[in-house]
Amino acid sequence: MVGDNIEIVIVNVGKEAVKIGINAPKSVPIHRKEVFVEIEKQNREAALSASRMKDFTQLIPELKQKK
Amino acid sequence: MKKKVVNSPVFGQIEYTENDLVEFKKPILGFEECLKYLHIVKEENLPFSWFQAVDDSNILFMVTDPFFFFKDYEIKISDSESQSLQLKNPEDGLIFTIVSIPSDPKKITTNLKAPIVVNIKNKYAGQFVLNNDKYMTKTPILKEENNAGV
Repeated sequence: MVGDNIEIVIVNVGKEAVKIGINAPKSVPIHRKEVFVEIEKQNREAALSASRMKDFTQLIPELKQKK
Repeated sequence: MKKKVVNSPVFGQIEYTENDLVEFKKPILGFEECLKYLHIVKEENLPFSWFQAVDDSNILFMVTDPFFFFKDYEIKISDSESQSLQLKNPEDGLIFTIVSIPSDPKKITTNLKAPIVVNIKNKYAGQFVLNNDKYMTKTPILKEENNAGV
């Protein structure tokens, strides 16, 4: 058990891998770490591009017409 | 209330007070030190707007109203996530998705997998990772003319 209401279970034991599962209430979000790493990377790329943002604002009127 | 100033790399000097700030109770992933932002909205740029960090002026996110481009977009966040923003009614939550601008700006993408939710009642905000596998972190916003129907 992790805390009071999260349970880690062994679903399957194989030669090369062990499959684990997680039982948790619906109120608890569960995500693989790779997802967080990917999102952090996206966020970082998005944050530090001030010059591209400036150029982009010029394009917005044209892009809205294409939608 | 005391007026403060942030020097935005895109918008220049902006005056604000504490009341103007959006406070991230669940930080933007990778930016755990920056919790306070100004939400900059300019009518002519809608549905795009910006979150400008006030503690580090270099940090600025362009976001969009995802429903402008994706009418069927669905957000389900957990009870604990709603509680972190004290969000009692779904209607009080404004949704934004972060936009990435590549070198060809027509290929802009938005992160539908991890939207930002702002509680309009208290200006608490968070970035939440959706459980839904069909949403991607880099979803193209613009459809190419020759890809109609994709």
